[in-house]
Amino acid sequence: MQTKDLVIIGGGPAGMAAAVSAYGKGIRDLLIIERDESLGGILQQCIHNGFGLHMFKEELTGPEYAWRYEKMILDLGIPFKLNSMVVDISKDKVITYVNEEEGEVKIKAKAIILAMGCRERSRGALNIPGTRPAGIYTAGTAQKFINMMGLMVGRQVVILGSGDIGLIMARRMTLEGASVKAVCEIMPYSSGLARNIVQCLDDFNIPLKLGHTVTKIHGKDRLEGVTISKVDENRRPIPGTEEYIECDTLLLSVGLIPENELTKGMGIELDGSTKGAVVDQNRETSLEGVFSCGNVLHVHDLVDYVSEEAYIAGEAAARYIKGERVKNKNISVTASDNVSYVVPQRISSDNEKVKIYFRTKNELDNVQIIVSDCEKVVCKAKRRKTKPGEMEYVTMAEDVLKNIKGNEISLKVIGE
Amino acid sequence: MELVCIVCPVSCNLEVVMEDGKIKEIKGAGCKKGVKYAEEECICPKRTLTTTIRTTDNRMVSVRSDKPLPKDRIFEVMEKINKVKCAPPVRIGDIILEKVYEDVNIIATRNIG
Repeated sequence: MQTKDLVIIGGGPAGMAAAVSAYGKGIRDLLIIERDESLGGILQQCIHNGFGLHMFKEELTGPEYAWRYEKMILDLGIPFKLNSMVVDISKDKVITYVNEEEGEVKIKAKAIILAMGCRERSRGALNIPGTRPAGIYTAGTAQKFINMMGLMVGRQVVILGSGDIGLIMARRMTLEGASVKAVCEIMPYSSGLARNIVQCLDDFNIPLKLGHTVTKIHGKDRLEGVTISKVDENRRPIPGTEEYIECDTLLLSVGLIPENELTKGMGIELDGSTKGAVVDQNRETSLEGVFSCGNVLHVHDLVDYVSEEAYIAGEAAARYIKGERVKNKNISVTASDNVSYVVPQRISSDNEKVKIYFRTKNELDNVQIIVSDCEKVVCKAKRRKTKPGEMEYVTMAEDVLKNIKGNEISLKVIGE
Repeated sequence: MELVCIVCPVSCNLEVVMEDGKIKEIKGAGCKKGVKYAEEECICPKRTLTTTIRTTDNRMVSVRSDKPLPKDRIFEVMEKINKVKCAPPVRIGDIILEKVYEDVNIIATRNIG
């Protein structure tokens, strides 16, 4: 059987940055396995701009951001396989992939970085009543049809969900001549960035209906319209508030789910809140030598943060392969008041400062972030505002970590 | 006038204080770019346009305007873009359409072999 020091599953932004970072730390026997026909992952279809402000200090489109990393991979000569689908990874790190030329191939790896990304929630996951006509797409599928294949998906559009992909597609469909009738959001706030509400909806006078959801699908062969309703505070439709909107297309932008089938197959511990692996500050999972980064670990708002996380995983995988990894702590990090999740969920070393990323459950003002070791406050930070749609972090310095006595710390947020 | 800054994902809330039809003060911007955005947004709102152009062999090249365009010219420029096809190969940064509006060019954002 072939062997490799490091195999990276997925050649999107996370996989490419992880490969570049592991290479930078001296790993030469590595391979990226990508199922699509090019590197870059979802960035290839995200033709809008706004990427790279943190990483490259300039505003790039998705394909341009992808190319920055693809060029690094090519220049460094990091090997990658395209059109190759990993179908199984065993607990002893044997990776099975398939492609048209080689058939089924097994590779034994010393370390693995999981960078498979995420997928969209579909209509099936929503249980919208009604018929099953053509014309209902996830926003990302419509994006692929329009931007990659040059196929227009419809003319009269309703969008359910106001996440960033939904907002971006509202603008994209409008530019291509469609009429976007409304964007419905079940929550009382949008999970998308405020800049996208301005430049994708307000610029084109597209109404954003907060506290609304689609309650019925109409049409036999092709979608003819949808019924939307207001929802109460428990997100249940309020009878009598129904409104019919004629449309031939419904786009769903209702959340992303980390794609962890391979992770589950390896018996790796998953976090019920992030739907990704439970990891330590190195992004190492419960299975030694297996790391996870990017949207397969938790869904990120910005690709810049995906790249940043992938650098952590890549460097840590290199240290693991070279036998330089230190484990001298075993602290679990838990999400407490107002916090929906934390990453990492474990801290296994006090050698370096650790950034703990988290999301708040609600929009809060004048926010205090508090990390406690039992009852003792060990770390504090302030923010003017936090939103569930925007990932936050708090940095724990080495001396703070060294002084933690217990084996559990909790992160809570207090705000107005 | 209240604005949300679109320069970066921080999305600062800006307040532009006008006096006699002129900008007196801009509050809330976290950086200089935000101040510039607010000024421009009051005089002539501009946006970077991103879209696609079909190649002569029927593939899609993603493109963008190399500078922001006045917001009210976007559909006009889209019409010009939709009328053309480009011949491969295309490299990132190649000018696909020159001067679609004043000195704004449409450039490729993807390599097509």
